[in-house]
Amino acid sequence: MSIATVLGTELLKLRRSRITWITFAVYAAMAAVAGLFQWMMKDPSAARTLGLMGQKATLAFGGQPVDWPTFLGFIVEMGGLGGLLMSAVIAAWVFGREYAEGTAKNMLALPVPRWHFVAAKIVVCALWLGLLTAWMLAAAVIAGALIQLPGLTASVLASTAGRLFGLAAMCLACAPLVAWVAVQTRGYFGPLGFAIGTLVLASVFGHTGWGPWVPWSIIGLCSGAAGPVTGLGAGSAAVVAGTFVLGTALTLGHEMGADNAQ
Amino acid sequence: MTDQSLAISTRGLARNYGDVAAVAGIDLHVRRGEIYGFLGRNGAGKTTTIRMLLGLVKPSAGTISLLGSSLDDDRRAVLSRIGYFVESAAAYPHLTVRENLDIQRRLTGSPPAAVDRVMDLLRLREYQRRTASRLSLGNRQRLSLARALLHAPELLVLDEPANGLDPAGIVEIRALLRRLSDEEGVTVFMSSHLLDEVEQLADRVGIIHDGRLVEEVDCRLLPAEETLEEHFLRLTTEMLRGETQ
Repeated sequence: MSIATVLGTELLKLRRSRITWITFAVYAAMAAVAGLFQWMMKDPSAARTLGLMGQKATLAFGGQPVDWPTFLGFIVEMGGLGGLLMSAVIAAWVFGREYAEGTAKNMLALPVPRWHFVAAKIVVCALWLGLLTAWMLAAAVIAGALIQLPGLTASVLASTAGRLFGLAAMCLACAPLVAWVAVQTRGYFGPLGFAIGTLVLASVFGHTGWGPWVPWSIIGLCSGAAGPVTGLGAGSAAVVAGTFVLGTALTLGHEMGADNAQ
Repeated sequence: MTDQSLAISTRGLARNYGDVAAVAGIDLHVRRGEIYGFLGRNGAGKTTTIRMLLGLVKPSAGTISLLGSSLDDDRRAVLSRIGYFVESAAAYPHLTVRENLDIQRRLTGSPPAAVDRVMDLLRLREYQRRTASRLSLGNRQRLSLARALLHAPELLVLDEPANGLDPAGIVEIRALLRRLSDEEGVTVFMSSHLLDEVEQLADRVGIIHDGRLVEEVDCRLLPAEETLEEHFLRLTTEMLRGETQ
């Protein structure tokens, strides 16, 4: 039994599932909201006429340039924290559903090495998050073009794509820990609670000196959500890589052990 | 009797959960080609035993041999010869009957024609494009049985296979299991609470109580004045009384 066969079946399991479409809709909505903010900044009087621009919004958006680099900067920030949450939702669904739907016991008693399932599911998470990232970038380009922002260059676009996919890779590195919580708690709620907890941790530690050493804060810092990217180096990269290794090892350990079905 | 002549052989099989012995050292000997009913009250240890047979729960003690081999020695080779159905009729709810079976087909390396074969066998063809979430409980049960039969296993391990089936469905499944045993030599190890069904279908039954195999009965040798159900209730009630005294 090749791992490609197992991967094929894992992809088949996505068919007709609503969650895939919901995640794509959420990412499109994020790009649309960023586009709306840019349009409000570009044409505040029109936004005010439509009741979109209140006093707080004027203060928040005032003074920022209205161009592609600023707009795509918003998109990168959204891709960081949004990606953290989305990767958790994906991992929770891909791993937790087997327990929530009672199919884990069928899967784990198949004549297939159990690590194949773990590996294939992680690949599915990677493909899903990669496609979502590409989709968000495409949606952002369409939104930016619709509101006719100035300053689009190939290097700005390439840099944004690089940062977005880099953040997606970091979010993916955190996903196996969510997967482990999903298989440990045998469902969706545990991993989603854990994901919310990591967002809180990202926010709390992102404002402290420990930010570069906490994987979820590193993603927030890299996205630029906490200001210009500083203080991140090889140590932070090792923390993110270590999170992936730890999460994968824990998930594998759980699935390889016998006492793990419903 | 060598292990090769047995489809299932366990020695001192036990599983403890903390201080509680869910299964307390049972020796099972199920011959190839026979239909063996595994009976017990709720909590007697039936499902834990079945899970241990399939490698889903690790035994605290004892050995298991399936079709002459140990799961520990060659898990994949052994499991590829076993069809199983544990507790509930689980399927991917948003996938169709055909897609659910296709996943099983790919993961067991079965030919594409196997899907059509089991759909015909379990009368699921008319539902092949229906998602599992829209199937009745009985048809979900059929789907689980179809999944278990897809790779033409030599041994079927079934936990409550008739659960949710209507009377006609129960008779149909009984006939199917009997035919698989008689014509194809498939061994069936099944637990069920439908004792009348087990009596009609099984060659032998094993009764588990409090984690111990307390009796094995050849269904053909049951006294005419006592049904299997009466025998089971009498035995387990006596044991319960003994425990409380």
